[in-house]
Amino acid sequence: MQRYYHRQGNRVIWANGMTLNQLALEMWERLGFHDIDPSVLSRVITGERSFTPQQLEIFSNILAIPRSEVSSLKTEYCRDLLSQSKVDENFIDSITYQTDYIDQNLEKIKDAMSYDSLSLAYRWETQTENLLRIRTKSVKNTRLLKKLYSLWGKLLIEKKFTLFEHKHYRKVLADVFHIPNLFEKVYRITGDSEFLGFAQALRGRIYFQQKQFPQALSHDLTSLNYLKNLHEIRAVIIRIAQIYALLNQSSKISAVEDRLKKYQDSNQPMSSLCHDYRTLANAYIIAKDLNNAQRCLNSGWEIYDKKLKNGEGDFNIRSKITLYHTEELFYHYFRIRNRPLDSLEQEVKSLVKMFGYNSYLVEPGTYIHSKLQ
Amino acid sequence: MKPKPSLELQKFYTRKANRIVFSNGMSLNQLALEMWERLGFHDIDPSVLSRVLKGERRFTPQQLETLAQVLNLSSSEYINLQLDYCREILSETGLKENLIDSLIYQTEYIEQGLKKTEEARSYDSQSLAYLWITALDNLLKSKIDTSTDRKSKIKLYSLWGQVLRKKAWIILEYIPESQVIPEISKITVLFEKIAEITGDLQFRGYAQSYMGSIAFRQKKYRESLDHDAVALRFLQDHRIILNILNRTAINYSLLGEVDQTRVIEDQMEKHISLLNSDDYATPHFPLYEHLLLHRRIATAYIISKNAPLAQNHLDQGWKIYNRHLAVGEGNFKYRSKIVLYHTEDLFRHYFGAYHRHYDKLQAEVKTLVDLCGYNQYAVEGNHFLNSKLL
Repeated sequence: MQRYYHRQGNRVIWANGMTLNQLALEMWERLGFHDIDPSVLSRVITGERSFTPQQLEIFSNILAIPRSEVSSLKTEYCRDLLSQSKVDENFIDSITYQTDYIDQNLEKIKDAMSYDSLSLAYRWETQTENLLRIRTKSVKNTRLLKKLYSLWGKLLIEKKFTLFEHKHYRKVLADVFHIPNLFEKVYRITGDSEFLGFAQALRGRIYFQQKQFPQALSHDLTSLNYLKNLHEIRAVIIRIAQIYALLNQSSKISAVEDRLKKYQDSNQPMSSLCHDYRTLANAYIIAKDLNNAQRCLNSGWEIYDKKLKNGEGDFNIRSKITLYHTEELFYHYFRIRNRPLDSLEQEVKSLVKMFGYNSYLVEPGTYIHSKLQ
Repeated sequence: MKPKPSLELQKFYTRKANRIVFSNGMSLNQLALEMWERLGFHDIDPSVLSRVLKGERRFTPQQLETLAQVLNLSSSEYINLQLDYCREILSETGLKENLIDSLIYQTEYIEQGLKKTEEARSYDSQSLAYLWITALDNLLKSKIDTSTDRKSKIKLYSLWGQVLRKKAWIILEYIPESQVIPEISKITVLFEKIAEITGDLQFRGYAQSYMGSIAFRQKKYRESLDHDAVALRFLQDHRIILNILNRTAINYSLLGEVDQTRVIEDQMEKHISLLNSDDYATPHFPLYEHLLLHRRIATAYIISKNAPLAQNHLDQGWKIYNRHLAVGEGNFKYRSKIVLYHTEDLFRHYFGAYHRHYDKLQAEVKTLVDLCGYNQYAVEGNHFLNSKLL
């Protein structure tokens, strides 16, 4: 309501220029000469009473409030009514602010990602983020604000993944630079320190991409103090293994692999396990440890062939692309093939293009991991 | 305003003579006593409970929660009680039913779900679309099962009808050929039920149209014609009417009744002229639908062995594809390529020569069918998709 008036001294001036008395009079006429007077309107402003739905309708018409805002006003109205009736606040949130709907959207985004529909996931992440941005601006209730920011944080976790996969690796940093700050804002509002971990991990990733490996290592190690999300912890640990390889501290990789195993569990999706092996293989390849590189890479292929190849919805396309790229890295370092991949090259190029895994787009004569050097 | 007796609450008790027996076997007095104890020895007694059941007053949220605990209700049963409770509060204020529906029955969520499913389809992700439409279908079934208010039920059935229309489309594209007919048959029965409950006769039209489609797949062309003729009496959407007319034309061609084919083709031209120009798309008639229309008409002309008109429509389909769909996302671009290729293949089968040379396309289309889940277009070697027409 406060959005539609301001005070000049003791006077209330509405958005259309009317005074409180003028608006009350106009509403009174449109309501059939009853149901409102200046004192009622004044009490609505001070929050001592609510409009009736009819009063709200007339009020919106006179002030020419846009439809979307009228809808928000009505939702607020319903929220007040239910709150006055002492209905559980979380339940009210779920039905009036569609927090459930946003939660469901997050699930759909995850589905789209795992079904290798990256462009769709990216589109919905953008839509949901816009929705959350609008909602968080209009909400004053602290508890609800925390809930919405927490949802925003969860969305950012998915979005950063999509960005790193969907955007070309030369262009992605511009799109992700602001996200660690957003994670920190989410932490400040929600008090959930895990978002600090996500901020640190993302900074680690950004520095890694910029080939500033010591800084990347520092952020990654800090992030592990805060993170609880097993998927993120595993991603950070494996990046640390690669950083050690790139910093010529290869002796530390096997200890990192042991540490990784502590965070692997039976609930881990097969695609994630396959990804762990192939990324760990990257670290061993860079460290020029042929046996371990082959062991990890072949474990990745085994999972892919047995569990992912014929299914749907577990990143099966992405798994093939990334395994192929690790094979390429293997060849680049050892000048021998781990397995013959000639026919796969064309197929992977088509898959990258078709499914929008643009971070794996490579120019002729280069391979994706050339950025590591 | 006096609250009405809660229909949702009525699910949890029965009357035996003058006695009320709750779902956990307790009498009214026993339940009131148990709730009184759990509420800290106040806030309820048998007379309050009796008045709630009669609709003379409402529970407080705490009383409702305690009732759910004592009756050991499942979380979904408790949620439905809470939703019913909120609906009562909001209804009493005179709020519009649509707003209440959108809040309480998440109709907006279901509509958004439908939109997202359509987006997944348009991004050629059939498996994703099928996953979500199945989830929406299940959600609506459970909402309908628990809904007792007639007005809400009609709203929910109407939404279910929309979900089933979308689901039928996805089934036709995604499900392997052998499973399509049983799945679609189930949906036609549901359309009839929805028409009966909502009074919306278009659903009867959809039921008949899908029966026509089933008969067509079973090569029962005369039967297909009969169902389609009935469907046309109930349907209003020009695009759906065009689809049915198109199948009608093909049915007549396959029955060797070429004169009838020409009559139907004239009717189709009339309906096309009622739609927008082919040169531009509108939100209601996007370009990929223009393309599909051309390819369907081409199919009808191919089967009626009218090569010039078949070529003309096939060319127009390719023109739209090359200019507007080949580059970009979310326009059924892979599906468009697949169906155009298959129509080319049908052309070759009927006229003995390719209308264009698409040798390279064959392998690409097979890959697209496989990767995007357009299983309806998965064909074995030396068989072309439309061989089922013969």
